[in-house]
Amino acid sequence: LAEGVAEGDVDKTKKAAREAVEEKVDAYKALMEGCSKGMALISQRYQCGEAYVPEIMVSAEAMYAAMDILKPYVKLDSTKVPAKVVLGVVEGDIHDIGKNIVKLLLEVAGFKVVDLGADVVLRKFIDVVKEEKPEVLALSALMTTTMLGMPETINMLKEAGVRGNVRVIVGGAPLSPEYAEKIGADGYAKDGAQAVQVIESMVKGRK
Amino acid sequence: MVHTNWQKESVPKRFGALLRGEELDRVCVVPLMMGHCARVAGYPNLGDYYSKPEVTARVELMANEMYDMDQPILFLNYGNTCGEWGGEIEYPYRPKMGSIKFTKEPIQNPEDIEKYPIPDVKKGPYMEQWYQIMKLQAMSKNIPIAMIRAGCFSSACRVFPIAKLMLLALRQPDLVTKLFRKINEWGYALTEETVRRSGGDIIFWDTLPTDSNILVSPNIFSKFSKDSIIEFHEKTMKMGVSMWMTHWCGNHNANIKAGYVDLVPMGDPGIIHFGPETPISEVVQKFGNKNAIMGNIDPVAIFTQPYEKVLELAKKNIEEGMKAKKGYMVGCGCELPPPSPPTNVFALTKAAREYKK
Repeated sequence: LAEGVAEGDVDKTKKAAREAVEEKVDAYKALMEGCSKGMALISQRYQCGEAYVPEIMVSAEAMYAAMDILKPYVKLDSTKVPAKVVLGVVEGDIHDIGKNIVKLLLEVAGFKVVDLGADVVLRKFIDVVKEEKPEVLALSALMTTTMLGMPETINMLKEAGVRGNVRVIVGGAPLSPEYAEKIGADGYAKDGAQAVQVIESMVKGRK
Repeated sequence: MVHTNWQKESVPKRFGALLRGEELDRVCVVPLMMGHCARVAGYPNLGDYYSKPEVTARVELMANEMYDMDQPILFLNYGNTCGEWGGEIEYPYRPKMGSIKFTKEPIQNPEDIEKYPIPDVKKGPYMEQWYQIMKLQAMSKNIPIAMIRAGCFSSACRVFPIAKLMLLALRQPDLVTKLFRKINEWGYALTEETVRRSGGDIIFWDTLPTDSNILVSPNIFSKFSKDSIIEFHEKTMKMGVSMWMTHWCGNHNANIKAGYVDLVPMGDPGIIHFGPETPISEVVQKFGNKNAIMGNIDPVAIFTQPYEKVLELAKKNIEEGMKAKKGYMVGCGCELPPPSPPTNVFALTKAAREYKK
């Protein structure tokens, strides 16, 4: 299953998922050790410059094909609450492919993701943080023209009195760790795989 | 005829002289300044700038004069390709918007790619603005530079959703090739009409963010973009376009390393421009003997760093850039961020004036 996902092979992942169901493999284990591991493999290749966005997209397609088969068999532990991440591309910016990769990898890693989409009015981030009470707010921007929305959002969180309740991570091509620090973000990630690592450490740090 | 003989008489004079290989009185300054011009002219948002050719031209000319820079009037095609192809766009009238937003790509399903009609380049949507801005360039004696389209994947993602496009590249590659070909065919028709009206004294401009190695591998670039862009540059120059100004937006280092960028014909000299991801010394070494180099100071630094730091960065960029044999203009590595402090923008001119003094 992991191989099929990493290779973006839909037929292979479907076959492996069906076999897992037939052989009564724990569906959650199949998801985490198969689908999740496969996406982790492709993420590592992406970080090393061996895979790019098209390869991630086909892996995601293969993963979703397997998930559709496995999901009805997953026994959820109602006592376990996954950490929540609110995610969106700041207002004025429509470039959402990076954000979508982050969303995908976070979901695979077991986070509950509230995806606000692209070109998100800044006020909406504040409203949703108040409403959803996420552990992490993840902001994305691809344009130098729109990244200014990030410090503005952080200031709005302060003004609304909720900055202390949520960790903020920023990412996107024109950003840097220095810029993230300067605007008062808690973390920065240069790509989707790193975003998952940083968010995982943020969440662990709060527990 | 829209314009004549820009190579001798047109403005900005320093820019023209650089392309002719003449000695300059000081370093040429071309910061890739677009939306910023509207901001310093007092516009509360960028809507009029991106939708009304008379505003585009007026604010760019004024900002250029105010900063004592050498940038010809630059513009994006007014429908950002998406609109020209029948898609839906939103002009940036909301203050937070930095550019034109394409809200719905005209082709949504792979099976529609082949049958989708190539738009009319004479009377199609947004064509009136395209021809109008070139008339305004001519009236102001500006060297005519026109953004005809944005690379290969970079144009295609404006007519077909990017996530589906990335999937097609591996799942149905023939459809990606067909889509690129179709966009090129539109480009040829538009070139023919533009050259017919302008007499051919024109520089075409393209930008390639979605063809960069942030998104696609050098293999994918080679398989789809490389031949398409080579053919497009070659053919349009045969049709009468003087040269190309190409902004290799984002990180193209793997494409450079693979030797693909080197294969793209630019005209003589052509203007080549990389993002700050590629060190200017490397740009000069690889392309400085055949192309004019546009500088690549980090845009984020220009709007976040203090004046003294920007001045220092500009001087360093000039120091390396001036080693290019075919000419160098100091500039920003991507569009100058519209909210950049005017003093920081002026730092580019200041550095250009002080260089070698």
